[in-house]
Amino acid sequence: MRAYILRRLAQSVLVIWAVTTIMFFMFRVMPADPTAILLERGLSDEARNALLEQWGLTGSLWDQYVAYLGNLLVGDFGSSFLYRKPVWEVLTPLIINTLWIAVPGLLLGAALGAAIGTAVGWARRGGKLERTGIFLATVIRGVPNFVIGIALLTVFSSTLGWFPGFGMGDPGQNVGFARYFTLDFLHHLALPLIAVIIYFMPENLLLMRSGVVENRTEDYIELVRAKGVSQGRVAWHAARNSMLPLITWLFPALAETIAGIVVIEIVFSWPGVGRELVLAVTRQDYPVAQAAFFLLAVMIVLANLAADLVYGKLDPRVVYK
Amino acid sequence: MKNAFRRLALPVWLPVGIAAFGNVAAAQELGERVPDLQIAYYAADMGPMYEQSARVLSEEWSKLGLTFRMQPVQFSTFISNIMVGGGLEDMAVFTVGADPDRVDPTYWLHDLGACGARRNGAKWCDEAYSAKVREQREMVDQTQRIAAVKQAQQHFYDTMPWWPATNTVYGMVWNSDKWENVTSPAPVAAHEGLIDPWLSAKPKTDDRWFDWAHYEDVTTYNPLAEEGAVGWLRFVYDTFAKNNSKGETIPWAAASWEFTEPTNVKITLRQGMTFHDGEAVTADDAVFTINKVVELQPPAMSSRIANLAGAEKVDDLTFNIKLKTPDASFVTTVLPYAFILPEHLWANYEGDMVARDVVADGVAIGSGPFRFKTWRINEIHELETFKEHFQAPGYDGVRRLALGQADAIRSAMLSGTGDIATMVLPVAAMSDLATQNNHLDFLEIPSHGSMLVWLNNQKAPFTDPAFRKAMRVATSKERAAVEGWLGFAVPAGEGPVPKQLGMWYNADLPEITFDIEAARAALEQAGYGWDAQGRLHYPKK
Repeated sequence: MRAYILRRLAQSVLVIWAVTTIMFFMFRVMPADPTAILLERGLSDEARNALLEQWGLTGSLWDQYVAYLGNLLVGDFGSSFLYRKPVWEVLTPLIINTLWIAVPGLLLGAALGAAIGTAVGWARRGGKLERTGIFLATVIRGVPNFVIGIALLTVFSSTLGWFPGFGMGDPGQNVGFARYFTLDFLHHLALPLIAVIIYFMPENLLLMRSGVVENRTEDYIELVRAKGVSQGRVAWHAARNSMLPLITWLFPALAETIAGIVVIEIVFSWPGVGRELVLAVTRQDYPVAQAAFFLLAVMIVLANLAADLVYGKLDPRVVYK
Repeated sequence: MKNAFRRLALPVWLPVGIAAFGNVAAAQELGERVPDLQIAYYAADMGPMYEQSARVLSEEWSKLGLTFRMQPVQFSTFISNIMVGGGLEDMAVFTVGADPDRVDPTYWLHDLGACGARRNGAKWCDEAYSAKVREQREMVDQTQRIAAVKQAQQHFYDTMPWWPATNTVYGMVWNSDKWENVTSPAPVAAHEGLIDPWLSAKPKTDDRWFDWAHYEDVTTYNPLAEEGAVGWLRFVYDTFAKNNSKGETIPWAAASWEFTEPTNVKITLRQGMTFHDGEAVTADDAVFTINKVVELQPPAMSSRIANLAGAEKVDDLTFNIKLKTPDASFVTTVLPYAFILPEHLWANYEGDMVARDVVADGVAIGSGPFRFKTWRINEIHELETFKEHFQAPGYDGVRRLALGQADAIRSAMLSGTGDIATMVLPVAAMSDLATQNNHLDFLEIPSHGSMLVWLNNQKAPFTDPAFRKAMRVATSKERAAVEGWLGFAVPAGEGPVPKQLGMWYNADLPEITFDIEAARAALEQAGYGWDAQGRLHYPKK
């Protein structure tokens, strides 16, 4: 077990290093110049060189790379070219904003997906419920998440006017941590959260349904049935034993959801890390973009590692070598 | 069917006919074929109007027997490689913005056209012209300067190294149920204005906060580090002067100024001004700021402060600014841009002032008409009215909502959350919004922002003045304005200086009418000719 963990950790470090390296060189070889807007306004050569030096963009690519890795090892992502502040200071409040839609979205999506998946899996094979459930899950799964967002905005914001269509709060409302516990915030949170839930639910629904379909014919289900308990209790037994793939899938799904949330944040103008990532790329704010990609890579790698480890804990048949 | 055939037949056969019966007889006397020419333009991420304009212009130019390769270029690459880097292959169709300091003719005459000027991407060099545009800058007497500026435009017009095609029209849309007296900041866009529309706007309801539905965030409140938010920061930090819509520079924090020598400007501050923390604004603050800027040379300010040598106090409200060389444009370009920092909050700061996080340090304090209140990254900025200001607005404050995309801005305007939107929506979209919704009004803002046609003046065929002039005659400014910009641009005047700059524009330059036949005739007269396929050839050597 220990050897397995060490090997997986080493692999994870390797993957993160590779992603970091690719990101670093990708941003450096892109034909884009972060000083362009100033050049257009007459930035002198001397001033430009001073700026590039300040931003760590002078010297050979190798020197820049070594300096970047060195800083990264001590948790220093550098300073944003645009905000002129440490990248951490820029990203921290935005990460919190993103988590507000990512974590509840993921958990509610998983819970609803599992509940509906159980019902669909337990329903009569080939019946209306099963066919409708599978059809809807497959369609929603195939729809890009920005379409879900735009559809929600069109119906519930533009047409019915029930929810605000953008932002995290009305202008002039509370600031600081207290804002997260206001009705105004929850009102703004509703649509993006529903979009994440809808985006995330079908995968859970289908996983759960497959598990329940597989388990419903097992002997232990017959045994439970023979005890004379209600149909609901019997289904619950099948559902519990179908949760293993769903739970292990939650870990990589968290990372995947955060990556997918970039689009949701843009559609709903939600001030999260995903929207900042896109802005940073378009504005050539390399330190912010690299840090955001790095964090995403770390999350995905760690989530996969956690999934592998948890799987063994949950299913005694899995043996680590 | 017959009509359709006729419609198709004319455009197909006309050029062939012209080529076949016009000049083919002289084909054996032609030089080499004029090669395909590349047209660089801003890629679609800057909006569709650049490609559309380049296409309609090239469609007309191709009637001269030319073939073009269309080359979209990302904005930053265009600036680094073409405008500044000397990488113009053949031609470029692109815009320069209506920056506030470009109300002075020096940018148009010198910066884009003088020998060795950094942004002279068309690579034209005429020593006599360059001398003229350098001299005009040193003429402190305005009448004399205007005459020199007009002379330089005539020289440029006669040589035709490049030309403007259109002038950009900006716009703003606002909630007229809630706000009135929302005035035009022309010739600059609304985000660069201050008096218009921001200080002039009046609330019609009890909602006394002016909500600006905008695209992006402001990245700093430290004016030493500003890059793209000059206008917004001037809400907080007063400048010495303002340029108005008539092209005049009017007093603001400075009550008056005068050139006591060609390199010395004496400035007297307005009496009774205070910073947002209640301290008085004095000449010490102004002198401290200017000397600090000269010492630190903040990169974002480099082009505007290059000619400043320093400042010295005369009395509590008076000080002198020393220039390195005489510079008449100082009044229109530097006084409306240079800001005043409170010395008592900055003098003892030991870190890097350019990198100072003024919000974290609680020193986002100026003397402007608005006082900093809140900033949440990528979300909202709130500035409250500084009631002690000499021109405080008649409402409680202004909010900038960083919404990140056009649909959210549109939605904010429709729902009433946003009170005003400016250039972040396409102008046509703003106009449509106002037409379709009674609570919204729209205003066009004609500007000096220009779409230019650049030629590589160091490469054939553009080294030939006759060829350049023929291309100019074949430039359909009207089509570029209507089809390229959907009507939200106007055909530009003649010469490099935009006609929107009023007194600086040489209105005596004869208008050049778009005429393909005249352009072809001019080419023919210069020895050019066409082969049987209608392709343009150089004159025989």
